[in-house]
Amino acid sequence: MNNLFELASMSGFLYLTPQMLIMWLIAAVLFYLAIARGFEPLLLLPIGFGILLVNLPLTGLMEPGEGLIWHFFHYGIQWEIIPPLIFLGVGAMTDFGPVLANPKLLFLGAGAQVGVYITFFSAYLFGFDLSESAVIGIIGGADGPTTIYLSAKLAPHMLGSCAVAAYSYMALVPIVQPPVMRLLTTKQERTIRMKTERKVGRLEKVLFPFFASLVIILLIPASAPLMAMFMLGNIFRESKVVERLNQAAQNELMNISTIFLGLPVGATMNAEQFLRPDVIFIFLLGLAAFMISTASGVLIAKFMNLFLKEGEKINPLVGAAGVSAVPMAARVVHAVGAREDKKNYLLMHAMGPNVAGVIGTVLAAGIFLTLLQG
Amino acid sequence: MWQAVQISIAGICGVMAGILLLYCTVRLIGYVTEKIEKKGRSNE
Repeated sequence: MNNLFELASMSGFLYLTPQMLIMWLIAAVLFYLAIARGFEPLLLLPIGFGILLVNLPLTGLMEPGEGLIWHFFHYGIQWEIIPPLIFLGVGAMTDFGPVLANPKLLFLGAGAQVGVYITFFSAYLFGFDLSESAVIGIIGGADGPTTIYLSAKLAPHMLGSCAVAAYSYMALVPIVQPPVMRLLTTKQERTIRMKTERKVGRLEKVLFPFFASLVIILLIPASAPLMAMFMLGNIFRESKVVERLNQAAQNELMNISTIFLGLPVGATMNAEQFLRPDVIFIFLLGLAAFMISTASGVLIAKFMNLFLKEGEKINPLVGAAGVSAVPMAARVVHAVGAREDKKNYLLMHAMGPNVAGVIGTVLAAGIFLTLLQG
Repeated sequence: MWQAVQISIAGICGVMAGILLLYCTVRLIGYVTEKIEKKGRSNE
């Protein structure tokens, strides 16, 4: 009989708190977004389940040194293994052809990072410290793995909220970006047709990842873990001599890494850490970061048009793809452009700033690490 | 406050410098590969 009472007293039902139930609701929202709406399901689903699990009492899943998910978190994220592996897969999936064909589009990827620094400064004014502000700012880059990587290094206590904010806004690109894009452009600008780009040869595509690695890592050595893996994945793709590795990086490795990224990130969001007023601020500032990055990309494109000849002008909508969010942001640019002119195919043009945005966000993260980690 | 301003300015300049360097690299790669391809075609 005593055993029965002991078993009942150790039941999780007795230790449930209202805060845990609120976290269940948040997990349910993520499940809804992922399953019913199809928004970033590959990440929102494991993140949501991680949130649900960590808010079940007495499981010990995130018990330091003991819990199963803690081991995934510690060895996968704190040891900086999984975000670079994701970058390996992203590199293997990335075609740099549009950037190589029209290199001036690279500047749009840089322009969109202005939002990262404006938000960093704003977050600091709101009372966050420099490291926390950097992690909030990087949400504007709309790059989940980079946000997680930077957060794990600079502000681990904010990892869960910042990762969820980054992935939520990436999922909401089709809702968040178009109003900003339309607000900052005229109808005439949105109908600008960009000239068809030249075909890029294989040699150019093979050489790019080698030289890009050299110049970027030499400039900002702190960006090496992410940049090196990104470019290695691209070398697998473009060399065409290691197709097995290319496929493994794009598929199996990427999928396994995604599982072991999402679950522990969600599991960092227990009720005590997440249900605080400053988390609401993180989400609001993250949204502002994303919108400012979109706006700065569009404005940089308009600025560049001042110096470009007729026929070479850039459709400013393309600048909005300078946030990472590959390839969602490029698709949104195409959709907004097609609404004005159905025969205006902006997708390939937008892929240029989109992949440049990934590089720009990694650079921004590397700069934060260089200046704040010492 | 001053430190945050400095980091913001350094960050924007750093990203721009990185992208400018990458731009020059891409142009250089494009130039060199074009020369190689032209030479290849003329040899044929």
